[in-house]
Amino acid sequence: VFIGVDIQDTEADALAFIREFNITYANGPDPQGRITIDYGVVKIPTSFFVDREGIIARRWLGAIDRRHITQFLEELLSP
Amino acid sequence: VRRWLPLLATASLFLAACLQPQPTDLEATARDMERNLMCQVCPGQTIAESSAPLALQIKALIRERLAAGESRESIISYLVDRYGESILASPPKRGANLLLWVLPASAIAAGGGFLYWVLRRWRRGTLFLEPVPEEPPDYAQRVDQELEEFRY
Repeated sequence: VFIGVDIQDTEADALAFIREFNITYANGPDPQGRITIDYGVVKIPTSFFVDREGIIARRWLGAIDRRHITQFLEELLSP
Repeated sequence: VRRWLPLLATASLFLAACLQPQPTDLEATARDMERNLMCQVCPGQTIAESSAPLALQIKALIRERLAAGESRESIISYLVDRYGESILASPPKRGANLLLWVLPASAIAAGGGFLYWVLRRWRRGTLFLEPVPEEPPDYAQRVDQELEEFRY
């Protein structure tokens, strides 16, 4: 499951971003910053990789490329 | 009437101070917590000083949780779990952090001791002098003896 959380942003800007980059994965806002604080986010963007048990296996600060996403997902999905 | 003016003015000020809305206990606790937590996106600033979105969100979270009956310690523990001890304005007095509390006091004590030693020697006029070896016990006797031999 791939989820995008829009933080410290306006709804209009977020929707414009989704349209501009043709983002198809689920996206939602965090207006009160509850998810931001709960995940201890200090930098935008931050990517979290959560394992099958719901535990954060990896946190990546800053922009992430396809190679790293693939590598981390394969690590999590490998038996 | 003039005589009463200072008294009236004082009474008015006192009344005005009493009528000022006082922060509630929860608000006072929230403000105190904000002064003791560091902003994570604005270096060197506490949550209280910062107006960054994250700091504002943490302020709101603190008030919300206090209002819900959560303790100050529990909220701080929750934030430390998320952001680490760097969120604390004062490092906890244990482990390696203890050095941060002990070293400055030790340095001040050592500096004070050194200053005392320097001032003491300075007052005696021996600050820059090599220590003079003590006179051997028979020194005066030897001088007298040699003077006696020297004499015609």
